[in-house]
Amino acid sequence: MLNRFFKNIFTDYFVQNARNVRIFSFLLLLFIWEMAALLINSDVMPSPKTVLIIFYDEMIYGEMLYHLGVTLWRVILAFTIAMLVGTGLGIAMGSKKNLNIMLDGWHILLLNTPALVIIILCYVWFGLNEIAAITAVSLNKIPNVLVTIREGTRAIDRKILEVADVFKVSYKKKFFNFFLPQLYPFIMAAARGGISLIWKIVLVVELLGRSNGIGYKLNEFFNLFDIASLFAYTLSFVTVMIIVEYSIISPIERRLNKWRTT
Amino acid sequence: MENNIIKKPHDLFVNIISKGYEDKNQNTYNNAIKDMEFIVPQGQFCCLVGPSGCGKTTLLNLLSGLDTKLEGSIRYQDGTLPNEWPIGYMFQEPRLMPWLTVKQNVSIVTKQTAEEISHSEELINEMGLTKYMNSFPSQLSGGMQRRVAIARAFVNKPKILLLDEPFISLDLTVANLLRKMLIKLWENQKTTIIFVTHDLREAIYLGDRILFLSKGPSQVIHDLKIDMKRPRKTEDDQMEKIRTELIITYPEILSGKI
Repeated sequence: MLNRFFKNIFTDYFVQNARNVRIFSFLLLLFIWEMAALLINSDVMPSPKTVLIIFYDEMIYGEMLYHLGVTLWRVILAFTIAMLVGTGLGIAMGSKKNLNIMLDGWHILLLNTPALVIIILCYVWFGLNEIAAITAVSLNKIPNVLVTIREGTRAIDRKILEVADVFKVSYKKKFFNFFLPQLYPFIMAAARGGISLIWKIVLVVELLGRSNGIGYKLNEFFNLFDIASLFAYTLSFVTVMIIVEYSIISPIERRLNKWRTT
Repeated sequence: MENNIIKKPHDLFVNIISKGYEDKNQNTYNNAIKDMEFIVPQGQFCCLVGPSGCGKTTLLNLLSGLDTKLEGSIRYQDGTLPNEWPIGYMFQEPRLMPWLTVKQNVSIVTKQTAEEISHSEELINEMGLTKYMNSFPSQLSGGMQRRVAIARAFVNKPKILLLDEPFISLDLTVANLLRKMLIKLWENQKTTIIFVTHDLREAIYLGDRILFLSKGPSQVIHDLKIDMKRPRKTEDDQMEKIRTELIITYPEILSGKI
C-alpha cells in the first residue's frame, strides 16, 4: 500500500515531467559527490562546496576567464577548420569514386593515428606555436567529419537533383538549395560529435605545448596537486559547452528540422 | 505528315535517327529509339502511349536536354533547341523538397524575383492550395503534393511541358481532379505539352492527339487525332467509341504492335 503510494508520487511528479527528472538527476549527482568527499575526506576528493568557492574566486579575481577565453577561441578555430575541410573532402570523396579510392588509404591512416602522435609531430615540425596547436586539433577531427559527410553524400537523393537539372537552376543554387539541405542532418551529427571531441584534444595540445588555456592550467594544478582547482576549471569549461549546446547547436538543429516535426 | 499551314516559332520538330546506350558490362549497344519522326505544333496537347520499355524516359530526357547525345535533331521551327527556352517537367512522383514550404517549392525553380514569387502564389491559388502556402509537403496528401508539382511545372512559363505519367498510383477521383486542373492551366497558358501515359482513356480525355510508340527500338506506329470539343467529360460515349474503334482496328497497339 505504502509502496504503491510512493510509486504513484514518483510517477506523477517525476517521470511525467522531463525537467523534474533532469533536476533530480543533477541533485543525485551532487549528493553522490558530497558523500564521496565525506567518505574519502582528503584533498584528492574535494567537496562540491569547496570547488564552487574556488570556481567563484577564480572567476571573479583569478585568471579563469582569460584561460577559458583562450581555450574557447582555439576550440572555435579548430572546429571551423575541421568542419570545413572534413565536409569538403567528404562531399568530394562521396561523389567521386576514383578520388575516394585515391584518398581512402590516407584517410584510414589518419583516422587510426593516435591523437597524441599527431600532436607531437605537429609540435616537432611546426614548433611550439599556435598554428601547430590548431593544425594538430583539426587533423584529429577531420577524418571523423569526413566519414559522416561521405556517408551523407552517398545517401543523397538523386531524384531531387534531377529536379534542379530539368528546371535548369544554376550550379550555385543546385548546390545550396537542392544538395546541401540533404546533408544537414549529417553535418549536424558531425558537428555535435566534433565539438566535444575537439575541446578534449585542445586541452591535451595546451598541456603539451602552450603556456595558456585550460589545459595549461590543469597541468599546473596537477603539479601542485591542487585537485579542487582542477575540478573548478573543468567545471568552467563544461559549463561553457552546455551553454553552447543549448544556445547555439540545439536552436540551429530545431530550425533545420522544422519540416520534420510539424 | 504535317498539314498545318501557319507555322509558329515553337512548333517542335523531332527527328531521331538513332539513340542508344552502350552497356559497358556486356559490351553491347542497345538501341532505344530508331527513326522516330514527329512534329508537335506549338500549343498542342500531345500524348505519348506505348508499352513499358519503349524508350519514353529516354525520349523525355532528350526533349528536356538532360541528355544531348543523339543522332538526329530536336529543334523548334525557329532553329533553337528546346532547352534554350524554359521547360516544365512533372515526374511520376511529386519530387518536392521536404525541407521547403509549398510556396518555396514552387518558386525555387525560378530566379525568385518579386514578380516570379507572386506568380508562384497565383499558381498555388489556382491549384486551390491557398491555405497550404506555408505548409511543408509532409503535411499534404499525395494529390495535393501533385498539385504543387503542377504549379511548379508551369511557374517558369515553359514553352514546352513534359509530363512522365504524373497521375499514376492515384485514385480515380483525385486523378480526374488533377487532370481538370492541368487542362485549365494549359488552356490559360497555351503551353505545348508532351504527356506520357499507359492509360488510353487518360490520353483520349486529355490529348489533342495521341502518338503510339512501338517496343524498343522505339518508333511512332500510329498518330491519332482526337477531334473532341473541350471541355470534355471524364465519362463520355464518344470517348469510349474512339477507344473501342482503335482497339478493334489495332488489337495489339497498346503492346506496341500494329
